[in-house]
Amino acid sequence: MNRRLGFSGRFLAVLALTVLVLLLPTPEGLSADGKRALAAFAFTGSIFALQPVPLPFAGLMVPVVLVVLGVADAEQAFEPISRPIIILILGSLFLAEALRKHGVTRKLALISIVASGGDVARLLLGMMGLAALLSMWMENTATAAVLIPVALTISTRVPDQEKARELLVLLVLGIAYAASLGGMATITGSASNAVASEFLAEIRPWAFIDWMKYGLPALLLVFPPTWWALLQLVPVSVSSLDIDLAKKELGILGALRRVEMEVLVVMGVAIILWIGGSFLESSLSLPPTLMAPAVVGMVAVAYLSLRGIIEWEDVKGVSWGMFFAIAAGLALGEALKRSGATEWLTDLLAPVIGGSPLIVGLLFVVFASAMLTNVVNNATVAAVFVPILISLARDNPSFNAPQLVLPLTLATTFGYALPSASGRMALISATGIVAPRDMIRFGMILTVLSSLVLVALFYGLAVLGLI
Amino acid sequence: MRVLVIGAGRVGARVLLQLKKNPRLTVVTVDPRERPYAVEQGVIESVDFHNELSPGDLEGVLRKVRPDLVLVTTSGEDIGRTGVPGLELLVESLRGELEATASVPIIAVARTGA
Repeated sequence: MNRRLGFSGRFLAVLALTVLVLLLPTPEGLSADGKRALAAFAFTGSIFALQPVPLPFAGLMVPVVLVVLGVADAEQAFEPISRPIIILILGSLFLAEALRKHGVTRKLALISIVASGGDVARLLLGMMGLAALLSMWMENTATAAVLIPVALTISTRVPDQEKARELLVLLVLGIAYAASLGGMATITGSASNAVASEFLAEIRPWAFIDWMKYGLPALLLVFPPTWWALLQLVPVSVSSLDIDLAKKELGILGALRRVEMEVLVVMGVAIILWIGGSFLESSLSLPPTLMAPAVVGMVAVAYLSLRGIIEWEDVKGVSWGMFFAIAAGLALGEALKRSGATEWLTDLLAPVIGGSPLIVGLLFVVFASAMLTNVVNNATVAAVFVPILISLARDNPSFNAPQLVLPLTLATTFGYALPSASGRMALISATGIVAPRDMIRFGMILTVLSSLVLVALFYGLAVLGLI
Repeated sequence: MRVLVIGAGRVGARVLLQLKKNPRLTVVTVDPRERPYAVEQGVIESVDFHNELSPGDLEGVLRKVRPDLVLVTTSGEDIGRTGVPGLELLVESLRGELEATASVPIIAVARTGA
């Protein structure tokens, strides 16, 4: 009963915030439609942050509110759910579930433990590397949820409880940060990437590989300092670990089974076609969009289903929240554009971003995005700010849209400081493994460090004319 | 026969009710909460061990109890925070980790819609 009352209270807070925006005087230059769209933004931001209902339901409420507020009709509000990018995300979630179901992820974790030889720094590197690699294709929170129990088991091999706890904090934070970082590399890696890609595709050809050209280098540059900084921030007084149990278990599990190989091959082929499908399509004169990532993803899922490798029961529990958050973000972004709210916000931000040297603009968007994502859902951040940056770039020949859109979107990864920042942070907060004070302290340091690296990368790319 | 039931929430309460039908079974319970659902509903008087659902926390319990069978009934709801994305998956992965690492038979009891 108390829980229900708590949920109702949070929903009332969401409604109160929305109504407050509606009741405020309309600022000069903003239309009545624009104000209602901003109220929809307030609703979206607060319902994702406060979550009075589970994330998938929250995502579904956003299109309804857009219609209620008169900034979209039902067709406009629900149309994003059927977009290929959403189907691609669904396909990648289903494929990742096949990996998890057949124990491939756990086996890979055991391999990385054994490969570390028991050295803590190498163990952290291995676990973080695996988390990053998996989260390029899997949902980031699901990656963390699968790997954290492995970290719990490893830490129990340390007899001293205090030392075991230190190791656990190090590994869990490493897994959570790396699961976020891995999501930078691909369109499927994060909801904000998917949203930003959709808006970028409206102004220029934008394929799966186009995102990877910038997302992958960003991951490769931010990952090493994150690993190094974690080792400095969370000192562990364990020099080496007993990995015999992992070795023994790996021995029992044996080499990859046929079904595990099959899942990996299907996933590998899908990834190759996601990256190179458009090239194959044009060089082999195949029907247009036959090799579109969404089609490839669904063919892979269909194959696994026909082979009996995944069942509907297996995929029912995938992260529907991510799926609906992207659709909600896209619907909100389009509503803000249609209503003129994006233009109004663009005019407000133009002096800060458009009138400043690129480095200042980069610092502003990266830090603003990284801080904002601690309290606002990353898909919502992208949905609101990506169209603004695209609009700014259209009016300002001194920079192009991807120079700011990509770093802004990638910086939504760096929400490390609060449980509301991401599913990963909420998860480790719920487990109580990391103290809230440590989450904020380590999170803020790594946010600043990662943001500076990201700014340096994109400034360098712009100076060299590579973006 | 000694049966260790991990989790005394809604699923655990239903499992415990069934186990009570056989008085020859020695049932031991683990739950981190003082008054989980099974206690509130009077299915059991109290929980025997207040440990978390993690391999490290449960290792000591397994050594002490030496059960013939372990039934894991914990769900995300029992951890105390519903609606956290990935929590059910984390709990499921923890159950899998326990199944893989423990030397006694461990069976995860899934939550049903009822």
